[in-house]
Amino acid sequence: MSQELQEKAKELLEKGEVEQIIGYGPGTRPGTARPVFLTLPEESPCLIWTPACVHNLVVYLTRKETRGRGKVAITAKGCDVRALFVLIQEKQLRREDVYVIGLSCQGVLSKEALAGGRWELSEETMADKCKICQVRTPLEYDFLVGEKVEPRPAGVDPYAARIEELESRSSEERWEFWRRELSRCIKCYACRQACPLCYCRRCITEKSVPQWIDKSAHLRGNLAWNLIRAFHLAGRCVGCGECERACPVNIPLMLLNQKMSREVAAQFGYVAGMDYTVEPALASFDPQDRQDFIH
Amino acid sequence: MVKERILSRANRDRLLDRLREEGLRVFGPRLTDGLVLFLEIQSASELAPDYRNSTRSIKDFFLPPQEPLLRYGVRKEGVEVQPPAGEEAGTVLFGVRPCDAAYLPIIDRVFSGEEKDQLYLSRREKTLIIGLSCETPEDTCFCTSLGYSPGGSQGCDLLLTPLGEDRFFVEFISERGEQVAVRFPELWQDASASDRERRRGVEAEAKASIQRRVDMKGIKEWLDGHFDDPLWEEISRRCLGCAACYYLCPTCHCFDIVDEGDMWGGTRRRIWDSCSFGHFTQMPAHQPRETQARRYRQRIMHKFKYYVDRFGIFACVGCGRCLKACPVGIDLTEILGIIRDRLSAAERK
Repeated sequence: MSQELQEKAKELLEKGEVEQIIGYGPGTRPGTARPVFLTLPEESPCLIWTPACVHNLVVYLTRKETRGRGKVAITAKGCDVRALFVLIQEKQLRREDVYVIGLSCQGVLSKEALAGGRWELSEETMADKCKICQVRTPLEYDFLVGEKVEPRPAGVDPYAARIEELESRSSEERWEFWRRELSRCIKCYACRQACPLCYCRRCITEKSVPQWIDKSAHLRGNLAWNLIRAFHLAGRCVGCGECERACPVNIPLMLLNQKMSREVAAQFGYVAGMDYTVEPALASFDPQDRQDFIH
Repeated sequence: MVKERILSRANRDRLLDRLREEGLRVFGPRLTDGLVLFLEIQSASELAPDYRNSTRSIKDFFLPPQEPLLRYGVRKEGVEVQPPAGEEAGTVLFGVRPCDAAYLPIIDRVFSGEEKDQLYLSRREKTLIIGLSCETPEDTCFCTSLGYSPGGSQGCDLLLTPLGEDRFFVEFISERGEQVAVRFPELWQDASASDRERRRGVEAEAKASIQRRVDMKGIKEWLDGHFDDPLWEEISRRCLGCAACYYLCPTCHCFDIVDEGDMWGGTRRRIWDSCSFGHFTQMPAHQPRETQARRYRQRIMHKFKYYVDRFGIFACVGCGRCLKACPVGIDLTEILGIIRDRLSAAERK
């Protein structure tokens, strides 16, 4: 598949259809991949597509370093394309601004598998997010690398069990759970920086006149930061899992995000990043919207 | 004073008990939530049985992510200012890897320079560092490139080197370390010449296993002449601008000071900050480092040029946490290698 990808990339740059390509190349640590940025056709042999290509490259599309350098092509898995859809819905990009090299995907490796040197994709080594993926073939693309993949047969939803288990606990126990998890946060903002939808030019943590939330990495500050981020992503998060993967202290951020996504789906019948022609759930009003949760 | 002894594993456990009995708080590497963190231990059995290095560095103990500097309250009579609650008992950090311990003498230069940082210095004063030589460095380790060693003793008060499963070769490095030797004479046994030989062997073997190498010669000189260079944009292109590498790095030590509270009172705190963030150098009228390339340049310059200019030493110990933590695979050794290559190319011309 890497060869098909390389040939396409070469062609796009040669014909001048795009001026830059954001894709994956091998990392310097064994078994890893990392983002690479191409502008010349002869650079295309560095492109790869393997289960180690975990990153969501859509994050780079809104960066100053990408904008203003001409039309861009990006290699994108199904989950990545969903993030792109949200950016289009939110008018950060136009569909025609990006050439999408879709990657047909059987799943990518979990953080633990990658760190532990288990590079063969299997049920054990697969990232949790892939186990509930509905878009193994991206919803939209200009070119598809690989054959279309059938949707994954319904299996165990790794988040559902954990969310259910947490919700069965008392509020004191849940507080204890999150107190413990969020105490570890060091406010490095890797979650925010890796997130394709955290594109605010000025994050609330950086607004200091007045200081809305404590900048300190103490429990109060960590709680404020992580909850505000979860709320800001409600109805927008596409579950690409980049925040959780980037977190250097293993905070289970996907639990928060998944809970919010499920809540939005239940209340509004809306799943983010599936169709960029519709209004986002929390940016529109419909008299038919459920109101019974307003007390 | 004998500087070298043997400590059995059972006596190591007793040593930690004795130190605790003296009222010291003992912290060691523990496995928790998939991380290895220095946490307080009540007994040696809680130590991570097999760890290569801790996820976070021991910087946390000397420059914590956040700490109060003062508390203030506005009263009718005026503003009342209280100093932070004093630090409690002394601390023992057990099982510190040589790269982490080596960070201390480097960064002491900042905190004990013309301006004495009392918070930092009092913690330095109250902390006993018991180092533990590495036997199996990770693929990300590159301490030897910076002149350190998996069996190095810089920054340690005591250094333990495992000789097989049940014994450690102990070196008493500092005066504080020697006091430990004197306080618990019953714990130590004499070291023989063959023990000494074995200790050297453990270090040599670990050293040889480190594959990641950078030739640091000339790096500083190249940086001297290349503040403006296309390289910065090239190497920082994938940088997301988070601070995972900065905050796990032992030597990164930039901080911000914030007031938290309302108009009637609050706390002034020192918190970690990072030159990676877009607002780090934000000023009312101007942002001198408006691109990630400029910010990434600052990281490299601070560690490998400015620090050398000021203190004559690189601000890097080669622990490799930056390349392990980076979500997008940025590799500091690769970057230093690229600089080195440019240098060689320039030399050839």
